[in-house]
Amino acid sequence: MEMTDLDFAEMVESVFSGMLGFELVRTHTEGEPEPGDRFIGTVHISGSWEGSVVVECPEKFGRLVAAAMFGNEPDAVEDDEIVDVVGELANMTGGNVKALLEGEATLSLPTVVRGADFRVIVPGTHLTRSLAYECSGHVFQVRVLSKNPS
Amino acid sequence: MKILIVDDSKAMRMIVRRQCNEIGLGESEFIEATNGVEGAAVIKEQQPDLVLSDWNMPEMSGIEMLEALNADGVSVKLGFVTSESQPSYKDRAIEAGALFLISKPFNAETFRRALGQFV
Repeated sequence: MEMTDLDFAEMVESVFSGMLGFELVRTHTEGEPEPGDRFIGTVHISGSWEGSVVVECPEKFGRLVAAAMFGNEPDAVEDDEIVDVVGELANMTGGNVKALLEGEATLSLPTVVRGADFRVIVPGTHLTRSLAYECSGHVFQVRVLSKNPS
Repeated sequence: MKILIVDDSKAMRMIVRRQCNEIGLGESEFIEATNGVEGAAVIKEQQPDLVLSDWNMPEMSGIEMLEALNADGVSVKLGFVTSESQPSYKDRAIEAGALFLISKPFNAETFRRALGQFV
């Protein structure tokens, strides 16, 4: 798959900033994670390229995004609305990654998990792209995991 | 005008509706369905003037819904609003009679170009 760091960054920014109107600032992925629950949305791509796209955000950021999408106050957002939004963000990002592929591929429906002390592992994959952004005081990450050789 | 929005994501249904409002379709009657099975049933029952459908959904995808409606002889004006953007998907959509395919992320201008004939 021909995807440069710049392609990936533009894609992520077009989803989060272009469509949702959030101002994003690139940041680093290391450091202490924000305390509290996180939501992780994942979609899988299979076909000419095999891998996964993962969107991870703190619960408070997911709540802000859901509030913006639903036109609610953050405190009025229901958990299933955050699940919906995080899944949709993974879906949109995954669809744009898939658009860069040559050859046929299919995109799975998103899965979303919530928790405080866990990580998502997709067996047989390795990390090929990772970006972190700061937005409204929270850090979220977007990662591409590939089953194909580097 | 009656517009049916078919999408398994409540957030996307809301965003699609908001884009319709922005391009001047806010006076329309909006109805919703959450997958292709529901969408096909609503189309047959309520005959919307326009359908805006996601592609990937549980139970039945948007393209399967359109192809099933074609097989049943049901005519509908339908456009896709989807994360899919590969040429083969656009070809299949057009072959099935879809009017357009809007890829996410999108903005009001994208909607205006695709839905101009309905405004």
